[in-house]
Amino acid sequence: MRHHILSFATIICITAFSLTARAGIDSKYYKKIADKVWASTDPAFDSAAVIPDSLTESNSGVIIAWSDDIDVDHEVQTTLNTISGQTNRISKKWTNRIMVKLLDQSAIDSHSEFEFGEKKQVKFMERVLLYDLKTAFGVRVHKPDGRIIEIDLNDAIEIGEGKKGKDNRTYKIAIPGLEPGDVLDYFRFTEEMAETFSLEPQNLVLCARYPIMNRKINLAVDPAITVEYKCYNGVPPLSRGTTERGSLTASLSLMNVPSVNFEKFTMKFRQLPFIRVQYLNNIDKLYISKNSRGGGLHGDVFPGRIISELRDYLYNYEIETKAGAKALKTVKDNFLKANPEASPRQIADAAWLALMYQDLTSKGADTKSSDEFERALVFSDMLRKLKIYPDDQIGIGIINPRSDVPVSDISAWDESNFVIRTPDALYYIPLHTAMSPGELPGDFYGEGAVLYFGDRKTWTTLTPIKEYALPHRKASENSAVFRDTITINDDKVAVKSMLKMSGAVKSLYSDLTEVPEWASEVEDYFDIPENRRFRDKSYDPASRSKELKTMLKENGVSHYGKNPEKVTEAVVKDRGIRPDSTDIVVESAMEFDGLVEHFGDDLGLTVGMLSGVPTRLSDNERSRILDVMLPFINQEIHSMLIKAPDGYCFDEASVEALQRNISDVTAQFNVQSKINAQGDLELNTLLRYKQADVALAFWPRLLKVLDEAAAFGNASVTLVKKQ
Amino acid sequence: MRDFRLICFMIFVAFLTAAASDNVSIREKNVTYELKAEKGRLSSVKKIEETHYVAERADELIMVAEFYDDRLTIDKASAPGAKPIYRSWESTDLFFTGSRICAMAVSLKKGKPVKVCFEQTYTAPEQFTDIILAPDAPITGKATYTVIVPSQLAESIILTPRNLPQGVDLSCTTGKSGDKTYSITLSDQPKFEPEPLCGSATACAPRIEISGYFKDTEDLYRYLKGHVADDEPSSTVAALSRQLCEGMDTDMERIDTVAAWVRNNIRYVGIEHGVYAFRPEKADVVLEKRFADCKGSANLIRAMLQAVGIDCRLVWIGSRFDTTGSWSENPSLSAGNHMIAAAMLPDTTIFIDGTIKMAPAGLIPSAIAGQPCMIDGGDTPLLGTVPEQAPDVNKIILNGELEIDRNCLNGIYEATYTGQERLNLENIISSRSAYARTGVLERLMAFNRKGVKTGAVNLKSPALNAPATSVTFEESDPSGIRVLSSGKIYVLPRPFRAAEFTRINSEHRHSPIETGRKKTFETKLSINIPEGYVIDSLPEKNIIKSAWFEGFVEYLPLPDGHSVVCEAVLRSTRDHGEPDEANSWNEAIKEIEKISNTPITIKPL
Repeated sequence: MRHHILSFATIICITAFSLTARAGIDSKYYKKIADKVWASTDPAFDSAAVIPDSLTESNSGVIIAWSDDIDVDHEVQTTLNTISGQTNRISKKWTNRIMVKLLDQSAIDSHSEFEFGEKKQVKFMERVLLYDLKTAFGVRVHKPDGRIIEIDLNDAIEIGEGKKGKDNRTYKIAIPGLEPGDVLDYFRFTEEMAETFSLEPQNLVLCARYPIMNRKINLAVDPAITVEYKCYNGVPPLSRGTTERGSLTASLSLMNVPSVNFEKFTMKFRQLPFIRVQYLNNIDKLYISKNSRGGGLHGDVFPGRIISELRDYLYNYEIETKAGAKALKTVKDNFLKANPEASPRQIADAAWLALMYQDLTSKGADTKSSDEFERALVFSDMLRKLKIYPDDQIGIGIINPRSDVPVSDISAWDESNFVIRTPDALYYIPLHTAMSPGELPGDFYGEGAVLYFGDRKTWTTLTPIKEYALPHRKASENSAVFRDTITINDDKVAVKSMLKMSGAVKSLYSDLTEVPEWASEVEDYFDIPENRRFRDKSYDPASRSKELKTMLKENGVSHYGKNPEKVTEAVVKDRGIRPDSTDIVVESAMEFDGLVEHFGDDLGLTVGMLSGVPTRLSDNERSRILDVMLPFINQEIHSMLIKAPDGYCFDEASVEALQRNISDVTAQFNVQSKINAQGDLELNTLLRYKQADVALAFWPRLLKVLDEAAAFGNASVTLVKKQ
Repeated sequence: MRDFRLICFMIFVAFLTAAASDNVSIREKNVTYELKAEKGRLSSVKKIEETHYVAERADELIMVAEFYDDRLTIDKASAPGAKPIYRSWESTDLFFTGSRICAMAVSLKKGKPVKVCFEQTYTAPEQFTDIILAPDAPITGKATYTVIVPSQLAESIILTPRNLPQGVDLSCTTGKSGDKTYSITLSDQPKFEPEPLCGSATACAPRIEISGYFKDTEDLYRYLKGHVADDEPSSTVAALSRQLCEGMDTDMERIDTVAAWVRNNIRYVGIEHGVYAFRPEKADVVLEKRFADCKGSANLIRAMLQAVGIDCRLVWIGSRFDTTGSWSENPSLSAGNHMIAAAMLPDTTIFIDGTIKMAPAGLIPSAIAGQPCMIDGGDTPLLGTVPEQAPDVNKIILNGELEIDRNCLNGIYEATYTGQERLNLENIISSRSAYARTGVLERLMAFNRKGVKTGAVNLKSPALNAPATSVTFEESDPSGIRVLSSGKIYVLPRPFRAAEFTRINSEHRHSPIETGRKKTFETKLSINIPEGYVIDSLPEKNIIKSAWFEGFVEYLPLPDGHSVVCEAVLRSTRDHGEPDEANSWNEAIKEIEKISNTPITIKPL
């Protein structure tokens, strides 16, 4: 059923409908559009606009004006090619125009080449035009002396696909004559049409790496078509109106939007202003539409309405897959028989693993869930059939990570992830190979969720929505703990390491486990006989072992401050996916160069490098204008035992000098060091992020901790030659 | 002008895309190049390549691919169960090359060889210049490359093997009709992987150079020269040149001025498909567009200098790391990939590369320094050689005043960059957006030392073609101080901190070592001894004399007893070495690091 609500971008990717492209720039079409755009009398597009010094001082460019004009229409025409005898088209014309002053060479370099000319058509059975995309482009240069140079697109170079290079042509042009001080004025025009289906949603971003003097958005919508928009992160309300021809309008005009040129600790969908627009064809009865609202322009739809729509889809959905039945059989035959006393939580965990196993390993389309939506329903039905919890305590919910908008603020119900809640746990529904039952990826913790409880077939319009806050996890529950034994051999440093990852940190390491490895662990858990186990003939343990070593070698810098020269051993001892074993454990042996220094007879060992502290933030990352948002709080611990080489002992003062302790409400960095009875150095470092959201006023305090940690990166201990 | 060489590289890349893991090997490979003659000259080359891939341990899906364009066609691409797809494939550093890729996803079942077949035709035979023998997967059986030369071409076409693995030879048999069949067989060869510090992958890969399409250098010259249109620049070009050079007394001033203007006002945009691989854009057009590739820039320099009375010509050249041999030794398109200009002064020739933005006046970049070249000489070429870079042209000079406290070695520094070091620094900075420049400079001045805090950075950029750029900055280096239990303090000024050389794996090294360019590092640091401390020991003067470097480090106490001056010079004496010198390279770096990291020892009074 869900495929009925696919939008056209997806269809283009997955269908084998005829895909055609017409060759050549349609000069008339381009000229018509360009004439219209350049004829605009919008005073914001003033190439001679006075730009304040404050904007030019530390920027390579300034956007004088940036507009998005979007017209959405409904087209009904008579046709012999549809059952209804009529077309039902949603068409969108989008003009994106930017006027930017180029202040230096780097701005010229990033605005000197353009690609354009994309066209696409999708036809069904070579007859019915289902999708059509046409684009146009224009660019001109305003010289400081007032000259306007329109760039001749006939100078563009054609890029073609296909054996003869004649298919799917696009074009590339290098802008001639650009000099610092020029103002570049360019537009991209996109005309898109979808028959019956909806168009892809669109995010209209309101800030950029350059400051924007004027930012404008204008939407005009045929009342027959459903267009919804939602404003995020401080975007002021749009002005609404109606045009003479009856189109509904919404517009926004902003001035002096500051540049955003930092990325670290920023969640763009939570912090940067943007508008998300949904273009929905709700008229056709053949397909299930994305929402229940009629035609018109709907602004900032109350989230409760969107969540209610989810309830209707869940209610109506008919499960077609046998995945649930097969997974239930695994639970009954391979778990319950062996564990008749299992608790509801244990049974639910086994059911989650069994369904994931089914969906990850099954080759048949009818024996696995078609998508996350179906998997959520299958799993909730499995729990009901297992009768381990009362029906009204099993909830289907939607959640969003911190990297997306809050679930309480979604603009369409299918923009979220699904979760199943029981009285004991939350079960994350997307496929993942690094989590045990009941775990969530790190960036979901502490976020909001909305849930429906009970048997979905009993739901009515009065069935209440439960709002719910996903639990927070402490930093200590999201840990990466390294236990390293370090020996110095001549100028090389050998590290034998055991890395244990728990909680949210695990979700970053799904690469450590491939599906056959994951399946093998689950098969062991269920004690599945050898002859019924999943076989992936393309799985090669030898290549995989090599790949793992390469991964550790190339990513060493994230945990050790530099990449090792060699990784001689790398084994995943525990994948952290079973209910009875939730931590990922990796054992490795590696060798580093360049950490040993010679001070005459004495040696220096740069132990700071082995503590994996972050690099000092660069200038532009230090001066931010937004609060700090981390994906989750966590801690990294390095517990090192550093053996003194024969003939050397650790200098006590240098050992003592390693100690650090800076603790703030935002973060903590701590280093403890001591020489043990064997004369070896025990060095423990801890970097803990305590708050996932840090107000801008507290940024200097977090920065101070991070700077202290970064400064430790070169900390060294001295080994004195024994007399 | 890079295009013809690019094709070779693309073929090389095509191999590389075939298999990523060592699970896949080549059981058998047969590649045949059949040369066709027309009127006694090579007219086309048919390439038939059959490769039997096998997945040794597990099934695998591999992607096999060949590159093609308008002059190297794909005639056939087949593999069981695979359907070729044809896409454009543009290089990231060029604007447009017109290259395309034919790729197939081939499913391999464990232990069952699968034959992949490509047939291609070189329709522009002059561009059949190399056969790259770099296997993308280990050859567990045999790979045979055969070149069939018809009798009409038997005397003219010459095959020269380069970088072949030990024990591999090129053989030749002559048939009854006079046809020659060259053959080379590789067996049990590892997968080819480019090594660090090896120049370009194409240059260090095993390969066979093909020459003979052009009878001699003059024939090749006529071909290249044939692509240079008659170019009578408009008065605009001349006017600009005269305006720039107004009031200048010497030709050298004019040359430097025009070179700097072109380098810094003409954006590099490489458009190199078809004839554009060889045809310089007209000077007028370049000036109007303000962008060009190397040929266009060279042509504009030529026109501008001619406008002020200097005899300036186009020069065809090969960059050091991508080409081998000279036009005279190897009259083939593979000997060149670049174009510069040459000002023919009465007593000397000045070579001018138009693509090096922010270059100091007179700089000859290392990529063309010492390279053989071919100067436009009218009907016949003038063969010459670009001069080597002058000694000590590429320098980083570090001067500083250092203060010791118990936690840090603090310093106020000035780093001065000359020659190519200056060019690199300025280009890194100017390519970054304004807001990011300070951060980039801070990181650069930390010279890759984690934990070092740099601040108050200030870039002093004089004229675009000035000989040097200076950066002043402050630094706080916690790792520069080591306090010992005895009360002694090790002080580490690290005079060679700017000399960041990369060690290489010396085991089984097969490629020559290319370090890029010769550089010199000069350091003068004044270290103030804090109150209550005296110098315990100073490192003895260290003389550096290795196979790769020379120089010294010397610490001298000043008579006041409260400061030490560290003077150091490090000069790389070579920028090229043989594969078996990898160990000596590593040892030389180790020695430098050791000497640079030798501390001053101070102790309490």
